[in-house]
Amino acid sequence: MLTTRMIDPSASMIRALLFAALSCAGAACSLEEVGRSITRANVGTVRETLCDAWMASMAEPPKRLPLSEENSRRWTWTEAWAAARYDLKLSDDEWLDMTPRQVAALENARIEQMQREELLIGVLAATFENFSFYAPKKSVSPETFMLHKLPPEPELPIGDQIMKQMAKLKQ
Amino acid sequence: MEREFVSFTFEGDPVEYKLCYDFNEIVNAEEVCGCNLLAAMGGGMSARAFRGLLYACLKTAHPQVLLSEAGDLMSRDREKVMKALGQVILSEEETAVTPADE
Repeated sequence: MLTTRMIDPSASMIRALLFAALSCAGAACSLEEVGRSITRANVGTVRETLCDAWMASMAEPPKRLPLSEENSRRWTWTEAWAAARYDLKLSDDEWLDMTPRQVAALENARIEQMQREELLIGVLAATFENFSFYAPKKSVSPETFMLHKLPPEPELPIGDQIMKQMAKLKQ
Repeated sequence: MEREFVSFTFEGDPVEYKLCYDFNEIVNAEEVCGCNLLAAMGGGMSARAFRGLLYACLKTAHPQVLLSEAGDLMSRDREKVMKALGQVILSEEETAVTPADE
């Protein structure tokens, strides 16, 4: 049911999501009671609020990796569980209690930690290579040795680009 | 919470049909009629959705009603049934600006 599009949620989906949200918040109410609390006056507000909460719980698309076919492939339930258990060391309950946004934040923190460690090792390896007896003509950067590359820094506008933008504005 | 009923009758039929908005019945009716009734309420309502909504709204006052019987009521006087259904489903603000009233 959760794979259903959230654009036009059905009545059963609205009731189930509201029940799940209230249960997570500690409310002790039955599915029928949740259904009774939805009236024609508040159904629109309930729907909008649930959609907003749903969107807020979703992770943002990754920025650091190119959106190749492999990266854009949707994970299966088992793959997501395995990543949470093995990479993030979460228990089943911890994982199921988290929103996708929270899991993504943990995953991002783990990757940043790996990048820091890889950069430190990369600095050592690059220093050895650049100052060795057979040093390369063009020195290598520490990033060469990193498995998880750092995100490219945003390009700063330089003189020519600024002039082009100004010319466009004049037109 | 006190429920609001909208009733209608047909000539020659002693039964007073009562409609009521009950979200649980709408959920149950979605399973019975096999379509998304909540989305249908937003616009572009099909005949199947109309029948499903009427069935859902009848269920509280007439628990024994069948989906086919709801369809029969639509056939008897579509305008009367749709007007009553509109009063039940649409909120007060929405009812105030229905095209029929303009």
